[in-house]
Amino acid sequence: MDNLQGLALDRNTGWILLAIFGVAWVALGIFWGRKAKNHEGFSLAGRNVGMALGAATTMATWVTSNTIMLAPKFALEMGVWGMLAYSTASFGLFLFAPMAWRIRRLLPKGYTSGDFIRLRYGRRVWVLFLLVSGIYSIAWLVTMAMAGGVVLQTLSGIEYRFGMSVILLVCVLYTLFGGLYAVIGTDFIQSLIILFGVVIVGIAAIWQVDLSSVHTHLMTEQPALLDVLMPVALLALFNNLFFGFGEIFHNNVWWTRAFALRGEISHKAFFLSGALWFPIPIAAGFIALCAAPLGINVIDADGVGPLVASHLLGSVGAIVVFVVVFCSLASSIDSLLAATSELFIRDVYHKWLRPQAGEVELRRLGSVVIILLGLITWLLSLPRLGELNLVLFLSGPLVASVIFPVLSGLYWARAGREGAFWAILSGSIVGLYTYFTIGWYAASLVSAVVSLLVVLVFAAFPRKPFDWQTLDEAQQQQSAK
Amino acid sequence: MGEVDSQEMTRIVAPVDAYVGMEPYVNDSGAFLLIWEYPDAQPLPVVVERADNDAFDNAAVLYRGGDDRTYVSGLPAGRHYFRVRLAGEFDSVFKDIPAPLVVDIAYQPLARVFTLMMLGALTFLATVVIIVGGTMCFKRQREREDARG
Amino acid sequence: MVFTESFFVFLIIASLAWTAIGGIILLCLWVRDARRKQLW
Repeated sequence: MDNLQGLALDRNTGWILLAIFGVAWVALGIFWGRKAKNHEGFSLAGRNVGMALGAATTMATWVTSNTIMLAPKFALEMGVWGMLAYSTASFGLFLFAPMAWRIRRLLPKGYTSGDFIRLRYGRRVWVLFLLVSGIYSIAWLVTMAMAGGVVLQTLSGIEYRFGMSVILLVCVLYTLFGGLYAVIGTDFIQSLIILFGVVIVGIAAIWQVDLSSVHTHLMTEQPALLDVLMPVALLALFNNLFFGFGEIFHNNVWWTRAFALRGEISHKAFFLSGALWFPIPIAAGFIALCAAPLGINVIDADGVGPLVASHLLGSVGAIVVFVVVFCSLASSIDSLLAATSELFIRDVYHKWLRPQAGEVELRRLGSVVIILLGLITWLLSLPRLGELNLVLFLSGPLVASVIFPVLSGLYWARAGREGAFWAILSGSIVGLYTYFTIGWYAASLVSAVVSLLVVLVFAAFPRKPFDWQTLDEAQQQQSAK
Repeated sequence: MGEVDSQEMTRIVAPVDAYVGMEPYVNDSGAFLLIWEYPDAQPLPVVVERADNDAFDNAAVLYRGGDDRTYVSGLPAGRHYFRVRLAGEFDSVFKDIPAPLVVDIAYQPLARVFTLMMLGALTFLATVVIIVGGTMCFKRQREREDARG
Repeated sequence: MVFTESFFVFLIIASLAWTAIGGIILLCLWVRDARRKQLW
């Protein structure tokens, strides 16, 4: 099936590219990893990351293979609104900026989002939270690894399981050697490659196609794509928005960054990353609209981006897409490996199983967990089950139900554990029910609405206001001594 | 119309099998994958046409070539007819013209769209108010505490 | 009601320009942070 339209690259070129970037990332990981002197250095890059690296790592992590591959598909199916709807995923980063400011002040020595939920809402909510976050994180990791294998096979004929394995292995290796230093350092280079790669392909497209003739073609042949009231796209708009909010507000990937960035710049870096991210789905997506005017036959909507790019730029275009997709995958997989292993080590192991564990033990365990996580991802990705993409879509209503428990926990002293617990549970259940009865386009939205209502109802009951000082665990322990 | 030999025709097999599903195929997204089979499974150049009438007057050519599928998107609401026929010098020879696939594009009703959008907009507003309002509130509080020393 | 041609062209050109400027801003910030020794 993948060979229907011929491959853009030959297999050897694919392997050479994979080898060059693989070796480069691992070498850089080892180089930057030497900066990590202890577990805090390894897991939070010394809590002193500056503006350039901070904004770049946040942006690159949010650019996943989906952004590069799915944005063109959105454009192809939903037109102008599809691209704009995809761009709204950046709003999560914009809104996380003030949250990061607040998080840094509430938990100056915090490590994970789980930390916050446990201290704020207690163990019952925390277990539910870890369950939701765990399902989402594994689904995200596996679908990205799978996407990597599929793209490599489509572009260069490298067999799925080899391509997928190599991408995953490279990410595990450099995250293992370098921790968050390696993740952030490589993310910076990857973000530049992504930004300029997208621009190169986009400029090549408008060089060869007259945009006004594209518009004319769409008007006559595919008018729904230009429709201001395109129903599917408008339905997708807010659902995507809340899926994105749920992903960013709860996941430790973003909380880790809030803790790792230097205190006074963390909110600015998040804001800038949102601004950098916003145009990417449009810049990477519009080329799909050129397919029909250029006479390119789209046989697979998922691969329309690389298809048009290699058609426009020949093998150079295929190489650019190959490298951009590789970078966007690596920059997200590495972050997710680091942040999820940290969530396990800090929250489950250190706070629950072995509170007496020391720095050396945590550091050693960190490496083991990263390897295990990579192994689990690899095993789940190997059979190439399309159903796993469904798991990621189904996690939309799950993560959306956590939005308001997190927000009320950060900002309302009156928000309590019962409200949070029932908000997550009822939001998830009603959201999943909506997914199967009304449709995918309403699931995350309904989940967010239900959890907001539950949080509001519980906050209306009078209760003792929460003491924010409790969140500063280090301070608490010191004063206890 | 002359005798039609099904062995010599292309046959649309997806999104629905044109021979089995004579009912119109109803779609709410305006996008679907059109797949066809060749006679004797031999890839031959075909012409894929779309029209708004079953006589295929003023038909638009969607694709011309040897693939066995094409992704269709951006269709306006309403009834559309698709057919895939063998290309060649005898473009209009009867036996090359198979039964068309009838597609009804029926988008979600705008009332539902606007209801969900309204709900989304209100929840979005609540999110922004909680975050921005909360942050400003705590910023002021902090400044007061700092001023008091 | 449809998105007009001028809006369509503007959207695409602006997004490409914006993406490119984003990349340049990141590079400039990197140089600034490196000079001030504030990268990490």
